[in-house]
Amino acid sequence: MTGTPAEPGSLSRRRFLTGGAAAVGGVAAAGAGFAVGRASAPVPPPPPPPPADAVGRAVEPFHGPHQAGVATGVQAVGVFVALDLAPGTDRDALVRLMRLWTTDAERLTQGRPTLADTQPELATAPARLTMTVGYGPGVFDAAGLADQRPAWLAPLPPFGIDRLEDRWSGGDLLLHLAGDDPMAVAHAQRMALRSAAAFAGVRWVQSGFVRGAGVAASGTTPRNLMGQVDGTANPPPEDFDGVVWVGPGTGAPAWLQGGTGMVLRRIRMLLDTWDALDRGQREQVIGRRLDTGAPLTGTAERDPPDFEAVGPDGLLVIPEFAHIRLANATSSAPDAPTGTRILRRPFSYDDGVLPDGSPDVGLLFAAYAADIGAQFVPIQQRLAEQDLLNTWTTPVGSAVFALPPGTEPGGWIGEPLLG
Amino acid sequence: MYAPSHHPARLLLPLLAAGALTVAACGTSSTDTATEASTPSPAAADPITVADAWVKASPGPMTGAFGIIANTGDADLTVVSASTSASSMTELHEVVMADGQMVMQPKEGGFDVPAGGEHVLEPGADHIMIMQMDTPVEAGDDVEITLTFDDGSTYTYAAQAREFEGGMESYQPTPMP
Repeated sequence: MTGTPAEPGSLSRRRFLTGGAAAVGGVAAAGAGFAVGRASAPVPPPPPPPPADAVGRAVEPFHGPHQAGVATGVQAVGVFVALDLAPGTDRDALVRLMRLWTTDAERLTQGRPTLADTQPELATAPARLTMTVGYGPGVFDAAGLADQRPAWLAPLPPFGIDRLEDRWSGGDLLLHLAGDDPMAVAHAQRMALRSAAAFAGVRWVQSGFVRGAGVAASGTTPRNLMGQVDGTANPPPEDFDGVVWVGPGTGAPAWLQGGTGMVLRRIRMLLDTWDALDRGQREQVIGRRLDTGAPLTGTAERDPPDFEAVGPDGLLVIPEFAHIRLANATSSAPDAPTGTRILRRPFSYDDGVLPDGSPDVGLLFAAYAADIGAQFVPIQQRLAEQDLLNTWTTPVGSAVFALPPGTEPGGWIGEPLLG
Repeated sequence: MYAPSHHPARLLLPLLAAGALTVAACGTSSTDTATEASTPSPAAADPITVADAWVKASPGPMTGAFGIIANTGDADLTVVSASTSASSMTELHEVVMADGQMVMQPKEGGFDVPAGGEHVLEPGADHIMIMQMDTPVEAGDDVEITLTFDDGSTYTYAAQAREFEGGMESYQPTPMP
């Protein structure tokens, strides 16, 4: 093989880049979305010292036009649970489940025990708990509403890099819990799954994390387990309407207005071989500096990348196959410069070791877009075909869900579809 | 099958369920939970609210309803009866220790709700016993419950049915000696 990066330390930069590029075509691996998003909120001025339990007291609103847990600033812990509907779970049963989950969410996220809560003491410190509900394709068949299924709500097309496992893929229902306290998240998970027991069984559970609450300043872009600043290029909140939230007149089913689409990709990181790269090579794979997250053509994280800049060696400063070049909407999709943006909200995972002894670590890559087919799939296709990062990452799980809009007091999640 | 008695029937609570009696249902010690209450019916007992209302999902023939009845008024009130949309027979029950066993039985005089106070209904303690159910109460259903007070006023609210492992389902009506 021509310059496989397996022993990259011996490679010159030019050989590394050209050889690595050639290698990508034959290497199966993955990774829409490492290292390109941006935190949504500016860093506020220093507040007065908070109370000692401020993290526990913090509450994210539940009611509103959109479900919480999407535009919400990422919390320390995130759990994704997929469920498969039990036989006989029809539209009426789904309504009852949605009412139960709404009760659980509107109480637990606000720091109040849910009804029939057997561990009410675990519910009093919500720590920015959010509960987010999504529908897989199976919901629409079970409810007799197949004509209301968004066209993009189906398994993603197969990518050459995929090594998908059933145990991390698919599902009829999604329950996404996130918060700054693992205990509050675990309790909410327990209560919500108890509510679901009569209607659906767990298909998979994937748990992840970013840095703990208070570890970094509010608004700091998280890092992943490759050490990369991951999330700089996310759309700003003022762009969420249309990019993330489904709007009217888009051809999407009316019930989905205010909702969004979600893709969860479980992306294993091959950290042992990644660590064999020297630091400069790791930065070139992404196109950003590891220390600041700045593009290789800039000095600060938020500096826009200059994809045309050429270095003294005559090579592009941000290499042809750098992750941020391929993931960037405007540089890679001139025909749809705003149509291929997505919101990335990933959590890292660390689940011990694989049978071969290598670390079972990676990213729970959660991406949100109003139209998964038009926005996410083209990015994933480019990355699957050309991203150098694929050498050190492998998608092992994939699932797609439609997230209904939020609800107001007295209503329930999913009412526009199922009510 | 359970046959109602015209006399205060005592129902034997199996010992295996005794553990559930110690389980607080839903944060009953939290005062701010009482701020959430159902909208009273027009003929309502104005000072009454019911918070954290739920019913144990059950295939029948009986189940229990729970919640926190609060009285914000200046006069003591007493719940003297209850009716529900889940069945045509309802009793106000208490759970007491008798002869070394926890038993439940109709509560003489009903549920007192003192002025400015509350009365907690929870598994293993006072509760509304729904009997002779015609149809199952399924998780996620809303059961409508109407309380009647000693002053003749009523209060109607909705209680969500929840799966609950503890509580009443395994009760066998057994007359106490």
